[in-house]
Amino acid sequence: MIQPKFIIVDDNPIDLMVNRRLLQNTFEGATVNSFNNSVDAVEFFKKNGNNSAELPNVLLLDIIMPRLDGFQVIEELEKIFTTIPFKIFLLSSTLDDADFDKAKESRSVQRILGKPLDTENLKTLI
Amino acid sequence: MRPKILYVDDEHQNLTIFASLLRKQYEVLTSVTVSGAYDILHEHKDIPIVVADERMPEQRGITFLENVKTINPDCIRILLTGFADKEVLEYAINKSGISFFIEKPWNETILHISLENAIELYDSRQILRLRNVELQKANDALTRFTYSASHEMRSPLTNILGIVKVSRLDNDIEDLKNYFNMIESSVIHLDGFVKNLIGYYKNAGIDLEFHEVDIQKIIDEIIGAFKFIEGSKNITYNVSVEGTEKLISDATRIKMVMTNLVTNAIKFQKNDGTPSVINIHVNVNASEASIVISDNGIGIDEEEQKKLFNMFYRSLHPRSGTGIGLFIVKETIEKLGGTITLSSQKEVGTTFKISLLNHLVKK
Repeated sequence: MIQPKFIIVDDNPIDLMVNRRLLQNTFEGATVNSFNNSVDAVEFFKKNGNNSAELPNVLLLDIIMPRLDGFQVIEELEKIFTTIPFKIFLLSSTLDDADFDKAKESRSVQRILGKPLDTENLKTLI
Repeated sequence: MRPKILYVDDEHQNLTIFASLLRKQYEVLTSVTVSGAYDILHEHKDIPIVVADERMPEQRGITFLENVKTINPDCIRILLTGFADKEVLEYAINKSGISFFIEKPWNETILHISLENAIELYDSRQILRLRNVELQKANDALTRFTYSASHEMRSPLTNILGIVKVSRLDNDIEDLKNYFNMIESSVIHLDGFVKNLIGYYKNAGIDLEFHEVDIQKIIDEIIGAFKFIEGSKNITYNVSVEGTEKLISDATRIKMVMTNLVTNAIKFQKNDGTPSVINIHVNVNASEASIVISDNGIGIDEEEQKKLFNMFYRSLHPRSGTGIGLFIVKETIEKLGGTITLSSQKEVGTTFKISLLNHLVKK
């Protein structure tokens, strides 16, 4: 497998650190970039929508975040891209049924992953 | 307001007598035709009692009353008939759910008592319905609360789990020490949340206690408690307590509210060397107490100001807490009979204005 590029968006600094470390351990040589707030992340994608070198292979999105939650970020991404050129996984520590239903309905979401991230499982998914 | 009664009977004379008999206590609507009665029902949706004669040329009273149920499901239906045959009654009560039967010609006393009972039944059904709506609301709120609270409690736990996972990958002692610090901060966060929850339930569950409140003493205690805490030693407090009357309210709750607001003012001081100032001004008159707490801290941006009092709303700021403090503050103040508003400007400071009902007037 080629070395994947990840972007994590999560407002919780500990989750960011943990997930980055776990990803780097499971996917050797992987690039992991992150945003600690969803507004900056959306800005990034607006700027780099046509710049495939900057885009990730996999986007990991926390659901509950201030300002824009994970689902709202996806809505923004759907405005930027006609088809989103990377896989999106939502991260949740709540495992709320309503979130699962929403994720199922969304054509852009692969699935919801629990926290902390099970990176071995993620490996089989991508 | 007199409760409405609709009476339908094909005998005009009955309607007139009925109306004159009951006009004092009730707003009597009458119709000599069934079709006219339907019109009245559609026009007045809040009729508590509908009385119908059984034998009418257009439609039987019992059929009419069955239809009334679909138009106005809450109203109490009464059948009036001079031909009390057993089958009609059995059908009326058991199948159509008609509540009262009055024999024609009516006995005045029985008519009055039946109508009073009908109104009582109607009122208790209305109360029950209202309570059900309230219960449903409370239940919905509880569901939302459980969802949010479980998220708030699970996320520090998943943090810790994640850190443990990561620490297995590292051997460097400095990294490990750092992980312990992170675990500690997650535990402190969770503990703070649980303490706040307990505070919330205390506020919700314990009755208010109204006594004379010594605001000056409360402020002195709060400032005194913060004197020895890191980050709050060099704050200048400007305090004034004025007023013409004593304040009667719940001292414990007022202290909780003020402590919360002062804690926030301390937490969100500027870190650029500006000397921090917290102003606390209280003014008590016979009807209310105004408490104004202002600071020269980092301020709150406009968008966040609107959501600040929401439960579990946490600001984007890294120093923000568990998202329940200001929610409790607002709930408490509303419970005490008051309001809280805030005005704030980024980089200038924040002012919370509380106006509290002085329970002096009620005594």
